[in-house]
Amino acid sequence: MTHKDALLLLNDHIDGVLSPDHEDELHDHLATCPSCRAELDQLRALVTAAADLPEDIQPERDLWTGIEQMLEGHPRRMPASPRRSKAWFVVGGIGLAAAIILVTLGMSGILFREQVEIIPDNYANTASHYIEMMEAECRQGEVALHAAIDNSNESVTLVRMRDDIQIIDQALEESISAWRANPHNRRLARLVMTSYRFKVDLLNKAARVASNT
Amino acid sequence: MNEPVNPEGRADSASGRITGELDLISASLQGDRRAFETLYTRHIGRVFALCLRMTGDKRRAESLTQDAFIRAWSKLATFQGRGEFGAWLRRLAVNVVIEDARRRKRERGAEIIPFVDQGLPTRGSETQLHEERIDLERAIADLPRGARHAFVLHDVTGLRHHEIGRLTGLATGTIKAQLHRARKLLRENLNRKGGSRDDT
Repeated sequence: MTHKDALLLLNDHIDGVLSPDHEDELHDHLATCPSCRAELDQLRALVTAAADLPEDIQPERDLWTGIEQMLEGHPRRMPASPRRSKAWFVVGGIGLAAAIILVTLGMSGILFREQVEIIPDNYANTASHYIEMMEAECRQGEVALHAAIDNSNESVTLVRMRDDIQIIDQALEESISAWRANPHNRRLARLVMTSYRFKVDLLNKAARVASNT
Repeated sequence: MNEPVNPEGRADSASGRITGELDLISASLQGDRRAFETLYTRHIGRVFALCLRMTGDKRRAESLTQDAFIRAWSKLATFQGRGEFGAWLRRLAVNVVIEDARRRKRERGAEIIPFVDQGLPTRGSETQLHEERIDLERAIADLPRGARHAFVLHDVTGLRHHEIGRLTGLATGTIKAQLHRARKLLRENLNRKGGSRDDT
């Protein structure tokens, strides 16, 4: 092992992710190289100092009041979503805004309407089955997206799409929770399925973008 | 400083006050803001420390810490109770910081942080904080964003490469490269500071 090779392996050695073969080679090199030993000592001192930094730092001002105000005004809601650029709508196509409007309008219309479309048990079970299938499809889409991202450079477009997927997730959470509370409500079941469809479409598009970067 | 955690999640039978973490989470899910405030009090120090070190900017860290707790309130139902709540909360805070960094990069281009007045410890408070630690905190704040995130998450917080990869959406190789770069830059920075201190 050359001196240059050894220097490259010191970080992995410190992190405990070096293969046993490389560990042996590095060990032999360190025994004969005072310069690498000094380098290793410095690296170790830095990593130890970092691990010894206090885990807890208290903010100088009270943050709870601001948090509580947000909870007060918007129970169980997220802070404002990031500003969208025009480019996203071109790329995303399916319309995050549509998903949010769908969920917001859908929930207010469905939950607070006196006469809701009630579906019998067998239809409720079918809806439940379809929703489970779409959930599984989403999971597959997520796995495909992560695999594509691992092999790509993250582009600005992809970053935006990932942000948008997270926002759709929040919309989904709301609609699923409403549907679980009213499993015989046909409109809510449709709302959940449509939200899932939005997510699957966006996941597929994001995976294609990641594969092309 | 922090209240002791009752891992079994029991209520304090003497006072009737909820003290267990799981009970606090459950009460928060029912909309009990006092229970959520107790969770906040227990975890604020660690969450703020993480946000401060990842951003190197006190004001932004305060704002992101607030965002993290608001998001925790909103997503509390997704906490499955399998792992430690504090770890779940810190992962959520990391996401908030990373999303903010991406958004700022999109809107303003490359991130520029003025090194002075970041709200990090300054000389003069040596009675409480050791000088080397202050130098290290400030050197971390001075790192480029990607390297700073990798160093804080790996060497300070103790996450593994693949865990950081999952949180940031970056490949493990990229995380390792950023981490090695951070260590190199930090050592250079600290050696310079050490040298200048020896000269005085």
